[in-house]
Amino acid sequence: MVREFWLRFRRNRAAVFGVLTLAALSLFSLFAIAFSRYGPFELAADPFKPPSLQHPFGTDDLGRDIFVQSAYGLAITLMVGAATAVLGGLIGIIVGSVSGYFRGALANATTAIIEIFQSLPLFFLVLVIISFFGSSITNTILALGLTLWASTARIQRGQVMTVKNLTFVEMSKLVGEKEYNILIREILPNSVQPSIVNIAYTASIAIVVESGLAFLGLGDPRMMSLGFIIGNARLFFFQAWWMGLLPGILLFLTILSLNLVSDGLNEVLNPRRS
Amino acid sequence: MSLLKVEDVFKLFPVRPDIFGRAKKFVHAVDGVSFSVEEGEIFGVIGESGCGKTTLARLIVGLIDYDRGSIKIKGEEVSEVKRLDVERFRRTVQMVPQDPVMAFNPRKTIKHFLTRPLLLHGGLGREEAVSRAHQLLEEVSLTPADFFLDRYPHELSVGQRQRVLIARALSLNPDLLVADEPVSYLDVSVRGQIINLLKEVHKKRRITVLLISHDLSVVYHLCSRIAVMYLGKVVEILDARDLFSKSLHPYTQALVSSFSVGFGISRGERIVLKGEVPSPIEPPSGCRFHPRCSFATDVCRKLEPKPLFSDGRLVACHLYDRL
Amino acid sequence: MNDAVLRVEGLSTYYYTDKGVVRAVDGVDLVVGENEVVGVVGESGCGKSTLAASVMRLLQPPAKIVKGSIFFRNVNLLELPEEEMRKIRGKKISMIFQNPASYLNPLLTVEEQMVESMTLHLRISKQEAASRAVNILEKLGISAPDTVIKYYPHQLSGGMKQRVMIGMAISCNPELVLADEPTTALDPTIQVQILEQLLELRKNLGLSMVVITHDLGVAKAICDKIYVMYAGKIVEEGKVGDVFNRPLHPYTYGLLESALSVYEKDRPAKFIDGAPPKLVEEIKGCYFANRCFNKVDRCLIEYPHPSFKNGRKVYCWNPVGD
Repeated sequence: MVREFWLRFRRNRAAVFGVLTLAALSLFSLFAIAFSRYGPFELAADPFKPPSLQHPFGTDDLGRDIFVQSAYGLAITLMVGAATAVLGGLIGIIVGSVSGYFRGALANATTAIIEIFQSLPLFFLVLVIISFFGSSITNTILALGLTLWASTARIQRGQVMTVKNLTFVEMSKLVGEKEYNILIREILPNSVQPSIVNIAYTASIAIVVESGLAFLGLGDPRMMSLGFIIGNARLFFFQAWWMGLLPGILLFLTILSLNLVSDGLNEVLNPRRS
Repeated sequence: MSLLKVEDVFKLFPVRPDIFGRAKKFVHAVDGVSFSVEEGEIFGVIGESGCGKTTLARLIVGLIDYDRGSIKIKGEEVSEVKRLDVERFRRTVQMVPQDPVMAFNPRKTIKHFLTRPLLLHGGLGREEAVSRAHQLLEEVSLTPADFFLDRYPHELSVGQRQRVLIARALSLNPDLLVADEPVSYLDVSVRGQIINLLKEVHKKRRITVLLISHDLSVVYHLCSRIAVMYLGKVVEILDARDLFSKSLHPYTQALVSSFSVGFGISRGERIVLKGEVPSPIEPPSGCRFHPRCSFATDVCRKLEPKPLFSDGRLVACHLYDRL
Repeated sequence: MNDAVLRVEGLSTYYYTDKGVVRAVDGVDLVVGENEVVGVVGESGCGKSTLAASVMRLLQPPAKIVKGSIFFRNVNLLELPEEEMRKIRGKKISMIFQNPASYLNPLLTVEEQMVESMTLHLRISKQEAASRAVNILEKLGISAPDTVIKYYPHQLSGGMKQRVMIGMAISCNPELVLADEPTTALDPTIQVQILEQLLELRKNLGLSMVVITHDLGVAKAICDKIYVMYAGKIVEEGKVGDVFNRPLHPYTYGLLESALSVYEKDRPAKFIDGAPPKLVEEIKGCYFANRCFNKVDRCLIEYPHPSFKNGRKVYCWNPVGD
């Protein structure tokens, strides 16, 4: 199964590029953090030093090394994406499956909840949560996970509603398979694919939102984030153009790669069969 | 003794319920059907699409519940057994579904497909279940069985899949096997294999079979008796040997004449019915076949014919006043 | 020979898939004479529908016509520019599909659809086209054509849709109609009505037709001549009566036996053992040899040359009953 999946995925060059880029970005941030001589908030040299051998992307307004900052920021960005994907994805798949499989009050209630969450303005909701509970990175991830699950749930719900009416599900009922087994063994493996594709999209949305928060200065003050660096660089654009360059490129690459991977998954997992 | 006894069974499906969940109109899918199937016989049900034959099958295997009437298998009311001891009910009746493609979970092997029922019911361990699955595959002539156990459904031909479906239906040793169009997806040149397999299984296991099909030749070949359905009602029950030559109901005669088109099996002029099958939402008054029947009279339009019985034979038509 | 409406010569259509080249239609010859109904009979996957799509030039990639010619009234369709072909398609050659529901536009009424093609191809006014459409539907046994013509496809039953489809196919006075499984999706009592209708049309309009079907009974009921297709190739051709009464190719023989044996009780049903070859593999010899009860050594080595006999043609080294 895995082999076949890879063989098909491999055909989408852009998606393979996305996977490799994401891997390279992760490695880059890990190694840069491991071998850096300064911390992200540590003063490394004079302020506003342009790129040099010692500080390949220069220093910021306080004299912190932007290369090191970016490495830390990237790690946080990737973590936010991954954690939100896992959290939101799990909630989405579970709620969506329950909502799609069962009938009656449970289905109506879950469907209503999904609809409500889908219609709430995402950025605003995250802002409210953070201003209530404080802007730590954990709160940001929780806020994102708890808001970004709804689209996955909606997709999952539709899938389960289609698959549950297929003959093989009926065949399982006919030999007395238990409901939870039908849902987990028969329906989930045949319905979860579009949701996985969507989860990859939500990861990139989460990163954009988190960067936006940090850009506006609403991020975790104890954590360096790409959005924060870019937000800071904005103030000194004409004095020190280099401040936003590397973090900007990294953020762009991350989001682009995630979208490419998501497209690739879509092609492999949801082939349109004629 | 009759193994399956269906008495005056009704199943209506609501059409587009209003916002309060009430429906104004209903599809009269099965509308007062009665017949009984003797132990060890292959009993056929024929009719065109929308006549209610598939709904009937689903009612008998308990996939849906009937609104009214009674379905008894081995003297026990299906709705009761399903409620009190659903596991025993599953072991009493099993079904071979129509579509050998959609009937399989595409991500599970044949081994999973065949061992699940055994693990759920047989009190068997994993290994015993696999060896039982092995035997079942041999029974339906899929050998070497080990090879087929590890295959995914898409790796099998339609005919092979149909064999696996039969094996699964037999895995719980049911008393009654309901086969819903078991050969309709197969090419003519391979259809005979499955027909022969069903015959063989029936003979060896002395199992009772309810065979549902739109293909008259298959039903004729396999069954001892046949019920003909039209718009949710049984219009005739007859000995299979009489199907092509001695049917009584004008609908059966028209069906026979249309079906054997080209082969000239039936004698006489080809009967071409006028019009289409009316909607089962608002079935015609009186005899449901009257708008298409060339013998229809005023009585047929007003009065529903009472079924006449004699010697296991039935006909519901105003043309006959006794059998 | 030259008065043939359609003459297909050595036509090969291949599918270029990931798993290899599928030779769906492989060197097919076929002739349809004036006012003749020709059947192409075969089972699923034998290439009969690809053959029809090739004649209409309606193939989508990965399918491609690689060899051969299709002469329609002595014009090779494969050499025509797409624009010229569009004028022929729907006007001179039209098609009836198995599943009319997917070829009727759900957003247009029957009238709008029928009128559209008539005004386009026949250059007549909308009013003329509309009254012509009513006429055609009436001839096709639709009892209230003025009402039905205002309906949308979803308001029609399966049999009605097929009638409308046939009506559209004949609305521009075509010279050739290709019918791909025209009655397969229909119930038997409706199927008979449609077959009668097709026979009627043929008598009244002098249509030439190609009927593609897996149903031997349908072929026998309406065709003059049939071609039996197996694994992308024609294996036998001849007059319907000849082929059905005395099949020469073991495949035709087996197919008929399989169908007819079910009409007998108390005897095992007949079937043809094995499965058709995968068309991506290189096959030496006759494609049917692996399933054939009548094969000789030569069958495994060389693809059979055609042998002719009383106007019949069969591709077999050892025909049945010789």
